[in-house]
Amino acid sequence: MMRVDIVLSGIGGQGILTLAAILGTAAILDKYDVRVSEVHGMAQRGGAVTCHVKIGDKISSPLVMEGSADMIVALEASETLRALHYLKPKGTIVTNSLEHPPPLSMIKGLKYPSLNEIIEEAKKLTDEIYVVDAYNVARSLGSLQTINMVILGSMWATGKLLLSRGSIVKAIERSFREPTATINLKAFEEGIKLVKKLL
Amino acid sequence: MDDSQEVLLMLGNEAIARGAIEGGVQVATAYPGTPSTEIVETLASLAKDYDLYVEWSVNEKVAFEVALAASYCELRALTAMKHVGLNVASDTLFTAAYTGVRGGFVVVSADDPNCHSSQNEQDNRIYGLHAYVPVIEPSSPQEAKDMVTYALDISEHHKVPIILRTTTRLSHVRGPVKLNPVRRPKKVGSFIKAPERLVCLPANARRMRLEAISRLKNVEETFNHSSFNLVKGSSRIGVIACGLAYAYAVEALERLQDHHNVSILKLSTVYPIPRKLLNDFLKDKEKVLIIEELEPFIELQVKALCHELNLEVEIHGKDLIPLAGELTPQAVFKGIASILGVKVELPKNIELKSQAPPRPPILCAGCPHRNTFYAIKLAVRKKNVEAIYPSDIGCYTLGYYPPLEVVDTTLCMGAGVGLSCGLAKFSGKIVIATVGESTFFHACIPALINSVFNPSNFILIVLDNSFTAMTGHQPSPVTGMNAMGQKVKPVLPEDIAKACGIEFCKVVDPYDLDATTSSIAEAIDYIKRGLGPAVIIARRECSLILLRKHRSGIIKLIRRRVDPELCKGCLACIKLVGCPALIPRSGKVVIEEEMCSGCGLCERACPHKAIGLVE
Repeated sequence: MMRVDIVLSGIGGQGILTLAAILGTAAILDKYDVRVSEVHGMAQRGGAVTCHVKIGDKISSPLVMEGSADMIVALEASETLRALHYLKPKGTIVTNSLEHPPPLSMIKGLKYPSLNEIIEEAKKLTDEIYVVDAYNVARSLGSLQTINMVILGSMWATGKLLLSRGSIVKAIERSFREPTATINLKAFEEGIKLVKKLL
Repeated sequence: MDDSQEVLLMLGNEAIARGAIEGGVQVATAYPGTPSTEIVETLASLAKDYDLYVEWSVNEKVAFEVALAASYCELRALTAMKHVGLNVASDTLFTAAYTGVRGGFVVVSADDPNCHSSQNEQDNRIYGLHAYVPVIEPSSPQEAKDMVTYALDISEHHKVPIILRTTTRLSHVRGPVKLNPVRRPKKVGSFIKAPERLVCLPANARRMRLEAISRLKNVEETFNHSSFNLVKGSSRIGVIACGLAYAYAVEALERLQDHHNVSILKLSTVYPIPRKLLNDFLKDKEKVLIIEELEPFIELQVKALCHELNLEVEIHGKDLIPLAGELTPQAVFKGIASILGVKVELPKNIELKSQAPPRPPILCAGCPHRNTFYAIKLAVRKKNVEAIYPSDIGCYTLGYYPPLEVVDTTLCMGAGVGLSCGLAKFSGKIVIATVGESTFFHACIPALINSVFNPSNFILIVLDNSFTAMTGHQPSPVTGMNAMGQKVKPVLPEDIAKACGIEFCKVVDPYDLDATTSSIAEAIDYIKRGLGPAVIIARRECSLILLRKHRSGIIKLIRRRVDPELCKGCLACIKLVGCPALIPRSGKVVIEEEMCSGCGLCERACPHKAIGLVE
C-alpha cells in the first residue's frame, strides 16, 4: 500500500489551506485517493493553523495519527514544534526559516524558541530536516503570498510526496488566475532549487 | 462544478452543496457560521447557473422559516447552520415536525466538537429525538453529497423535515467526490392552503403530534433498508460507528490487521435507529463498541434496545471513547484495541525543551475593531470610571486577548445586549457592550428595544465593518448587496437604534481615534446621568477588504513604517496595540508592509515617535 501522511503547520493568512488544496488536487490528477483536513476555525486571523493531508491508494480517516506522519511541514519556524508530535521516527521535516513571534508571547513575556533550539528538538526524531528560506525567496519574487508555493517546491524536491511534478504544476495553474499563477509557478520552481542545494 | 461524472476534490461542505443541486434543491438559506458556512456560500456562487434562490438571512430562525416556506410551496429546500444556530431556529423546528413538509426539506446541522470556533460543543442529533425529526450522518465527502439527495427524497416521501448532521472534520475535509447528473426542476412554487395542518392551535397540534410519531415509524422502516448503512464481517465482537467515526474505525482496523476479528456496522441513519437492522447485527454478538462523536446518542438507544429484546450483549461506548472534544484516530484505535484485549503501543510523546508559542487568532492588522477597543480604554481612563464589557460572537470576540482585554462576556448571538440590560441595572458599574453589525441584526434588536422599554443605562457600540467578516465576508444588511450579488437598499443600525427610541446615537470612524474616544467619553457622561441607553456606530470597512482593494488597485492605502534610528526596541507598540503587522527583528520593531492598512494606532502608541507615514 502506497501512502504518505503529511501534517502542515503555519499561521493563518500564510496560504496553508491553498497549499493543502493544491496537494489534494494534484493527488486526484495522479489518481490517488486523498483527504485534506483543515484544522482552521478562525484561520485568517493570525492563529495557528494545522492541515492534515493523506495521499495514497485508499484513505478513510481524515486525520493523521500522532507519531505516524511521514512528513511535517512548517510555514514558520516555531510551528515545527507544534507539529512535531505527529512525526514518525526518521520522518521528513521541511521548515521555513522565517521567525514570526506572535504578539501575545511578547506581551506575556513568553520564551520564543530560536531556530537552533527548534532544530535541536527535531533532531530527537530525525536527521532529515530541510530548513528553507522561503520568506526571502517569496520576497524577491515580489509577493510574500507565495511563501506556500516555495515550500511546496521544497516538499516535492524531497522525493517523498508520491506526486508527479506535472500534476502539481497543473494543480497550481488551476488554483490561481493570471498573473498570480505565473508567479506561484515560479515560486514552486524556486522552492525545488532550495532543497536541491541542500541535498 | 460542471455536470460531467468526473471526480473533483471537494470540501465536505461543497459536496453537500453539490448534493443539493443534484437533488433538485431550488431554495437554500443560511446565516453564516463555522463550520457550516461554505454550504450556502457555494450555492450562492452557483445561483445563476442553476436558477436557485439563495439567501443569507438575518439569523438562523429566519433562514429556517424561508426554506420551510419554500417546502410548503412544494419546492425542494435546504437550510444550513452551525450547531448553535439550530438553537436559534429550534422554536420553528419543533413545530415544523408537527406540520410536516411538502417539498423535500433538509436541515444541515454542522456540529463543532472541540469548539474550534464555537462557544460550546453540542450533539444536535439529540434535536432529532426531541423534535421527532429524522437524523442522518455521512462519513465522507462522497457520502455527504449522496446523502443530501437521499435526505431530500426521504423528506419529500415521508413529509418530514430531516436533519443531516455533520461535524467540523467532515465539513472541512477535502476528498474525491464523484459527480452525478443534476436534477433541474423547473417547478414554480405553489401554496395550497391547509390551515388544519399549518395552524398549530392546540386542537390541531394534538392531532399532528400523533402524525409526527407515526411518520417516524415509517421512516424507521425505510432506514432498515438504507444502503448507507453497511455491515462487514460476522465475528462475535462488533463495532458500531456513526459518521466520521466509521472512517477512524476502518483505519484503526487496518492498523490492527493481525487481530481484526471484528465485525463492523456503519450506521448512517442515526434517528430513528433502524431496530431490525440493529437486532440482526446484535443478536449473535458477545460485545460491541459504539463509536460516535460527542454524546452517547446511539449507545443509549442500543442499550435500551438490548434490554427490550433481551439481548445479552456487553455494550461499550463512552467508557472507552472520549465524551468531550473531537474524535481522533488514536482515541478510536485505543478503544477498539481495548475491546479486543490487544495490547498496542501508541507512539510515546517525545520530551521537548522548547514549545511552540501560543498563537491564538487575533484581530487582523488594521482591524477597525482594535481602534474602537483602544478608544474605549482611553475614554474609560479619561473619565476615570470602572467598566464592564459584555460582548458577543464575531471577530471582535478576539478583543478578549491581551493587550486589549475588553471582552468580559461572550455567550451567544445577541446575549451581550440582553446581559447589558441586567448588568446596567444590577452591577453599579459603567457597562459598554460591543457587537458587530451582523450580530446586531441577528439577535440584538429585541434587547435594544427592551433597554428603552425597561430603561437601562448602558453604551452599545456597534462595530460596523460592512460584512459578516468572521465567516469570510458574507454580505450583511449594511453591505448593500445580497448573497446573489443583487444591489439592495442598505439597512443602517443607526436608523434602527433611533426607531427603537434611542436618543443618544452617533456614528464615528474608528480610524479617527480622537473623535471615537470623545464620543465614547460623552456617552459615558450621558449614561451616568441616567438619561437612557446610548448607541455608537463605529463604522469602517473590514481591513481585509481594504487590503484586497489596495492589492487590486481600487484604493491606495496610506502606510506606516518604523524609523530604525528612533526605535528603541521597547516593544511598547506591540504591548499596547498587539497588531500582528508589528514584528520584532534584531532588537527593533518593523512593520510588515504587506499586512499594514495604515490605521495609525501604533504611531499613537509609540513613546519615541519612531513610527510615521511612509513617504
